[in-house]
Amino acid sequence: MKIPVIRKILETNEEKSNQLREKFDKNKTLVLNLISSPGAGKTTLLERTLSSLKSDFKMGVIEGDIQTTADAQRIAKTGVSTVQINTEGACHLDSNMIFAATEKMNITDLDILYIENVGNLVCPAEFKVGEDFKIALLSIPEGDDKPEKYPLLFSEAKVLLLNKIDLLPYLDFDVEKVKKVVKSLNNDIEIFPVSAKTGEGFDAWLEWIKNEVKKKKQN
Amino acid sequence: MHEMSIAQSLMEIVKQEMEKNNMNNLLKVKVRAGKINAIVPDALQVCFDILLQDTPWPGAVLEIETVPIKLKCQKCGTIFVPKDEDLFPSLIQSPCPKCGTDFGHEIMSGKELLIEYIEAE
Ligand SMILES: Nc1nc2c(ncn2[C@@H]2O[C@H](COP(=O)(O)OP(=O)(O)OP(=O)(O)O)[C@@H](O)[C@H]2O)c(=O)[nH]1
Ligand SMILES: [Mg+2]
Ligand SMILES: [Zn+2]
Ligand SMILES: [Zn+2]
Repeated sequence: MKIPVIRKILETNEEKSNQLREKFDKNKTLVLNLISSPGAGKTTLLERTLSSLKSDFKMGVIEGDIQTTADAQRIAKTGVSTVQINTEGACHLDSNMIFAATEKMNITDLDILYIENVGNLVCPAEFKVGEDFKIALLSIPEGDDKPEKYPLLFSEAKVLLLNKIDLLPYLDFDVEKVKKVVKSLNNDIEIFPVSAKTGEGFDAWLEWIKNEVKKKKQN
Repeated sequence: MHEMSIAQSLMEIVKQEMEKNNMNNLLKVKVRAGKINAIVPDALQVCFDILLQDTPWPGAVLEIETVPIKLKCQKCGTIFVPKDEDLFPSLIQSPCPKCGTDFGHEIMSGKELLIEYIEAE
């Protein structure tokens, strides 16, 4: 016999994500889920962001990595508390992993929690981890056709950081085209061209974070 | 390889439904996957087959229906399927057939990832 089901395949993760979100909302913690290809600059961006905001906010970082602890060690150097998740091969973080990580850190007094997802443009976009917003990073050397090829992330992200703009003079990358394509997928997205290396463009990004923290506190 | 995670979640739901409905033998599972999810049907098949080997019904069939992308024009509200939707650039640049706007369309379908029904006895 045929049994109608009509359930979302990833619903268990979504339920867990909602529970996490409730927990974060109660503490008024802004949670940002950073997603990009491997090497686009998530850790470098975090290092600079943490150093710039350290005196303003209490922050924490969850580092997702397939195998090493190298990124967590880099973050630890900024003095911000970090928990490392080793996904042991899995190509994305899910809500169960974040649950486990939040038990290892004091999250009750955080203003901002950053989650560095596993370097991968595809499935991290499908697995919610209790975040307020997904922050997509696309770096200039990856090429300007990525949003067309991987539309899900770009249609779900609240912010797109175009990183490594210090390399623009050396590469063929059409910033205006990317802006147009991404806006057509997602009209509400904010796009900030930045260089995590030189700090260029960071003011707008930091301003955005400060503003969102303020909004979260008012809710 | 996000297909393996998806296959695992799918299997979890299938097991729950089998038990809930007091079924003994699973024959078929039907899934609807929106095109935007970028699921490779063959890869999902293989992953699901691997998981089936550890169940009492290793011969069950998985049918995956790919759901096309449907857009709603932000300007005039016309709902349309972008022409060559295998190519994402055309999804993005696809002009509304009525008013020609090629920007900021709302995605009406193509994002879903659902189990639709199971066949069992
Ligand atoms: N030129 C330039 N290089 C950068 C910039 N940001 C990061 N890099 C370099 O890019 C490389 C990768 O940076 P990471 O920050 O480790 O990238 P990631 O996204 O965290 O990488 P995974 O965690 O492995 O996915 C490093 O060599 C960085 O120094 C930038 O703005 N400009
Ligand atoms: Mg990193
Ligand atoms: Zn994955
Ligand atoms: Zn129109």
